[in-house]
Amino acid sequence: MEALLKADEAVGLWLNGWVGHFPALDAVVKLTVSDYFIPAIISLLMIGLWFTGADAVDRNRRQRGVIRAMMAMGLANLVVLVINQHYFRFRPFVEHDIALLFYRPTDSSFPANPAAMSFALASGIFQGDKRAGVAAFALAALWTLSRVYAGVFYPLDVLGGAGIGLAVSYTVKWWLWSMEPAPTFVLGIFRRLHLA
Amino acid sequence: MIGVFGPFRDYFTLVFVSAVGVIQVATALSGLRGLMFLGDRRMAGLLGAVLAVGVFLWYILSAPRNLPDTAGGLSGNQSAWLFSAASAAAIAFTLAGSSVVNWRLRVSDHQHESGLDALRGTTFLWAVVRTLIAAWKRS
Repeated sequence: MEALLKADEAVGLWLNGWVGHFPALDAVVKLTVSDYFIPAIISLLMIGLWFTGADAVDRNRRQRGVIRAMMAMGLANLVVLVINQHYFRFRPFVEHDIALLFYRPTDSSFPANPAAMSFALASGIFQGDKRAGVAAFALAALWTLSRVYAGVFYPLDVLGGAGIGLAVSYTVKWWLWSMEPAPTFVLGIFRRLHLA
Repeated sequence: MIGVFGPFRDYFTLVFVSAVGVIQVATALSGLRGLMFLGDRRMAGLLGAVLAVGVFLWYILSAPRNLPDTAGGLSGNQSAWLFSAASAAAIAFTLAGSSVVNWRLRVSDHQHESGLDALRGTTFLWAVVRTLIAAWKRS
């Protein structure tokens, strides 16, 4: 475990070591690392998915994906919160003298909450629409990789968070499937009101 | 940033305007004419894209945004609630606004379809009215 954490730190510090070498890349990362930019785009993607679809069946699949994504995001947040009650890992900028491209968050480094949330969202979106899901996974990867580069997380924090997001997403999928016909009934009410 | 409500107001504006734009693009792609603000699908899609991209550019360029919630930024919970409120407001605005703009779209070839598909040829308001009348007649 000790060796794994050391290797994780080494990879994280190596990535962060590139900060300052390419000012244009740093400028892009200052944008992609933001709390608002990529999360807002992924969420807007879900709004777009809700209203698109070749026919009612296609749209229904997408809307189920959006519902799963939202539920998975909430649950992933909860799982990270519970883990944080029992385990705390210091952020890279606390333990090392690094070039920081972001503000200094005070919560635990592991597991990365942004990774858990964004991968939970991306997985739900993927279940609804493959192409949009691939785009969402790419955005989630870009966001969380930016955070490692910016010195806010170690790579294992992000991998752990992403694993939680994916696991939670498929748990939600299974749970909703086991709750049928309740989800279909709720979606049917939205459909009768011309909202779905 | 001006005032305590600056970050809240700015983020709400970002989500509201970009959500309205994304819905316009989505409805243009799906041919949901009753939800489009412009009659032409291509123009409606273009309007949506301009709104979404424009408001992001404004948000990014108008002020520093990488701020912790202890120094004028938004916490994760705050931004989640604001996103929900702003996107709900954007959907409500689109449903109401497009019903007013397209108020002549009463009769539709798609009027017997349910859900969003009914909005291919009529507005949200007329579709709901038609659904309520049908339910009243059945009862």
